[in-house]
Amino acid sequence: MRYLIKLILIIFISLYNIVLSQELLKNEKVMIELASELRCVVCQNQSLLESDSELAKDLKNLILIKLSEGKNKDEIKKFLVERYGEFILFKPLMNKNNLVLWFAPIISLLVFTILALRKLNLYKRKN
Amino acid sequence: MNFIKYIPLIFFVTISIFFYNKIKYKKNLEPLSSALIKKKFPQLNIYGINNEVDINSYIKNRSVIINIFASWCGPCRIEHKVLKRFSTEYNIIGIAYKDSQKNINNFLDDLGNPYEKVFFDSSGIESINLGLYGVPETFFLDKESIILYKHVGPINEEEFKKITSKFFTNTNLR
Repeated sequence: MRYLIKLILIIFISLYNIVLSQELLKNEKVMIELASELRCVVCQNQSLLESDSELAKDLKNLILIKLSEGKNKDEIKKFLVERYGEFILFKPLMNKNNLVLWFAPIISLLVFTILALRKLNLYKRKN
Repeated sequence: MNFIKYIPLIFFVTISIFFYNKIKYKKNLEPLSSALIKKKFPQLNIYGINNEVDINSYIKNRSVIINIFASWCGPCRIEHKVLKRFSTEYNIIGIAYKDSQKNINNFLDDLGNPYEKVFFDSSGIESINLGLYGVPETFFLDKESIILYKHVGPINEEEFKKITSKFFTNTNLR
């Protein structure tokens, strides 16, 4: 009987550990994903993930804490943007301030394609 | 088509003016991180030496200058003179970043104490709520605890005067 209880306990504890470590691994994965999308404010050309500065380590820890509290990626991003500004995001947000930034390449591509086509047509006609 | 020969000259003059302006251009008083400017000072879990009071209730209804510093930080030592020079005029409050009470006491014994009170952020996690880049950093707050200005890096006397004269009018002083 005692052995049985021990065995059950062992199985229970190991199962619990597996679940816990899975959860931690999942959080770690999300943290790595998120950290690669954020700028390290100390070494500004590095992502948070690559950076080895003290602040970057703290921020990565903070992300892990927030994830374990059940916050999702967007909530954490919002939290950091509120404190450090949009500057911390490598990928700018899609809002009205950034509309030009997002659409300028597409618009300029369109405009120049039209111009180029017109020019080419002119040449064709001349020839 | 006579003007074509002047094009290089015009080009040269334009470029020269452009570069001259760039050299002469002086950076305006613009905060490095404007994310927290005009916002309320966040709720922080930072306490004084004996845990007797938290920073938010301490600064309530007072216009204060909050300086984040550490005894291990070189630039903080340079900045310290400036803070001491203004400590009688303004309410300067310190946040010790990732530091121990013992080291802070030694630091303040050595260099003098410009702070009305020192709060401790030993883990450094709470300071992230202030959008900390690195020590030292100085926040200028009005009576409603709204952040008027944030200075990153050691502050000098000239900058200190400029900021206080711009943001601290007589009405919102102590």
